[in-house]
Amino acid sequence: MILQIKDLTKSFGRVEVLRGISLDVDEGEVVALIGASGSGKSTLLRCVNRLETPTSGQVFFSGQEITSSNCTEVRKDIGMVFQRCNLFPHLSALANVTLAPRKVLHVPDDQAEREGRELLDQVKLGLKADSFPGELSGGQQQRVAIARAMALKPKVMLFDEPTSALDPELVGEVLEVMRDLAKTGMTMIVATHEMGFAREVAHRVLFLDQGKILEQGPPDQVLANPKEERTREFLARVLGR
Amino acid sequence: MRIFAAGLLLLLSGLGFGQSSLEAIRRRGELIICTDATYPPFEYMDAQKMVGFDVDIGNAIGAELGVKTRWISLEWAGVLGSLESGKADIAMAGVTITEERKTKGYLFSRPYCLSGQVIARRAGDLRIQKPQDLKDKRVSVQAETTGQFAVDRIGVPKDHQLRFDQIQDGLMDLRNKKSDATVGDLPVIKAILNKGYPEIELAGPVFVEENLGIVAWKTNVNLVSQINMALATIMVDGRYAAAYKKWFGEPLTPGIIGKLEAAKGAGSKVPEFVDNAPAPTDLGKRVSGSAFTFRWDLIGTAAPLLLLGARLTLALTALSILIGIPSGLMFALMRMSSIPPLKWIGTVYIEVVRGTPLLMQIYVIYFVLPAIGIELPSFAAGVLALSLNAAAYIAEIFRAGIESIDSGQMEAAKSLGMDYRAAMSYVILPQTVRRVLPPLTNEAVALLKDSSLVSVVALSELMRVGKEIATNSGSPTTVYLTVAVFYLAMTLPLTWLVRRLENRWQPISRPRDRKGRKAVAA
Repeated sequence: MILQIKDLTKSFGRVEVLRGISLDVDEGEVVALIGASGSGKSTLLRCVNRLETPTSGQVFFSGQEITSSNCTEVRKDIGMVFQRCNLFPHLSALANVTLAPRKVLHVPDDQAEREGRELLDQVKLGLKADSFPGELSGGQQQRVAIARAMALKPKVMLFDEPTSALDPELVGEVLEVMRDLAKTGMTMIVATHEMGFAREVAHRVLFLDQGKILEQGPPDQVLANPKEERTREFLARVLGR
Repeated sequence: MRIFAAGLLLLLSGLGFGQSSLEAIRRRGELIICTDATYPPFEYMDAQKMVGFDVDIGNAIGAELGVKTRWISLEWAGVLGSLESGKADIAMAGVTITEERKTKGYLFSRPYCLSGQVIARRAGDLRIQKPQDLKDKRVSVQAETTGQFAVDRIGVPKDHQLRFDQIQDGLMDLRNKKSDATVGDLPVIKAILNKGYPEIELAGPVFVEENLGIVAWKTNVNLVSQINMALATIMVDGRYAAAYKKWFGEPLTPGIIGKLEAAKGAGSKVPEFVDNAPAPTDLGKRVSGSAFTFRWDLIGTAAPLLLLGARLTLALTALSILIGIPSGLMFALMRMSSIPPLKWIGTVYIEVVRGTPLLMQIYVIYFVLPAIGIELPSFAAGVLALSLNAAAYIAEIFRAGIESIDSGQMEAAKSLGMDYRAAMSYVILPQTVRRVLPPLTNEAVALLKDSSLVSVVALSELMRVGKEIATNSGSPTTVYLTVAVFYLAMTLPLTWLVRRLENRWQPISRPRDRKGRKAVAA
């Protein structure tokens, strides 16, 4: 068990966004988070690497509780990809990827560059190493963002709806990269609206509803034969059935 | 005594010519007297009322002419200019009668007061006893006054002269031990010392004697004749004696009256008895047209001096910006800090500095800090004041710049294991710098212009040098236009350079724009 979430709650003012989430994630497991907008998927991910401070509850990474004093350390092992990829616009694709290894892990420049180019090759952007984010398409930007998050060799990757902001024709290339990543045995938690992706890649699907895990299980079960009425409604809406 | 220092006020006021003949004054029933009410005991503000020797004498003259008086107070640089433009009929501001001023078109009444230059020193400082002792000392004076010229004649080198806008500042400088002596008008220094400078005393008697006169523009010969008559009357009927005793604190002696009588010829030559007769044609017709000619011949002598001033202006500005940028960034980060004491300090600093005038800050740093043991020479005080001031404005520029960066950037940096410092250094600030460059340039240009304010602590920067040259040039317009060119020569390359930098950075911050779309202002 690499990640353990216990009774996590998060409120923004009076609004309860997460209302007691408990979740264990095994090493190599791919967990898909589905649910309507506002159900708490993003907030859950952001509480895991402490971009948001939980209101109550605990998160353990490899048995160690993540606190505000150790979160900077722990984040090196937990990569994150955002909906709006948040690339650094003043740096080239390669520099985006190598920045954290150079400045956080103090990897020598030449080694960081070599590894950075390998990562860009992996996301099939080896030829765009010197392009700036503004010169790349949305899909390419998101693939650079994945390579950037991978550069610290994290043990867990968090994906916060990585394809939601993309033009439909660009979604495929990003999902393909994520699929490849899952095949390498990376532990992933993916908030997504791509049910096809969830069914194909995820080991487990969680349905979040109003800040709670309403239903979870293997994709075949949750996506094909949901037990809960609300899950069925949600899937019907998303899949247009 | 103060010499004609033509300022921009003169330039502006020279545009319109009014009528202020004796007849016009009588029709109006009012004599308009221009002065600069910062000059005790001649004229100063006492509880919102202008009082002083000149005020009493001027009012007595008005009474003699059968009209009321109206006093207007301007900055000294504009006082004499107001005569030429007709905004005032006469000037009474403790003005020294000089031949140079007569040639510029001013008429003087007969001397109405004797004055002279004296040396002030710190009490008991026996190194300073006579004018020759000043040669190797630092001497403060009021800029462009006969006090400064007296110091010139003694042979005090220019870099030992501390030139202030007001004699009060010179005396404060003396008290703060930055100057060794102050040279100025006896009555004025005496009046100021009486109000509370126990640390300062006079060293010896008057060493240059001067006559003060009432000034009018050259078309007003009749008026001056009338004023001379009025003066003669009040000098014997007791009104003059009363004012003298009241303001100089000692009785008027026959000796003084004798001296004033003897010096009668120092004033302008005007007919002695005139009553509404037309003015002599040769004087009356020479109403100067204000047709402006650019005096190219002045440039040769002015340019090297202005260049020196520009160099100081540039040095002050460059140093202040160099200090102001890192300190501004520091204050911005403090203000945005989540640690309450830091936030509090940053906020208070920025608001206090932005909420008070730069001039006041310069005064505080130069004149007030010595009271708590912090002694700074002029240049250091100037740089400190300018950079502390700039820091507050730059802090707000940085704050706005940092806050304009998308919050996702900080989150992305944090998610990559960066701490606040690393995220700021490698992600946020590099983007901020590009955004704040235009407002930062504005600040640099503003600072370059504001640096003229440090002339109050005796720094001969460009504007001060310009003023000084203009005073003796005979064509202030030429000098000020040249000064403007010097300022532009410094500010335009700066804005041009930054525009180039911005264009060069454009592909990085807004890459798409390179392909033809116009950049939208951030």
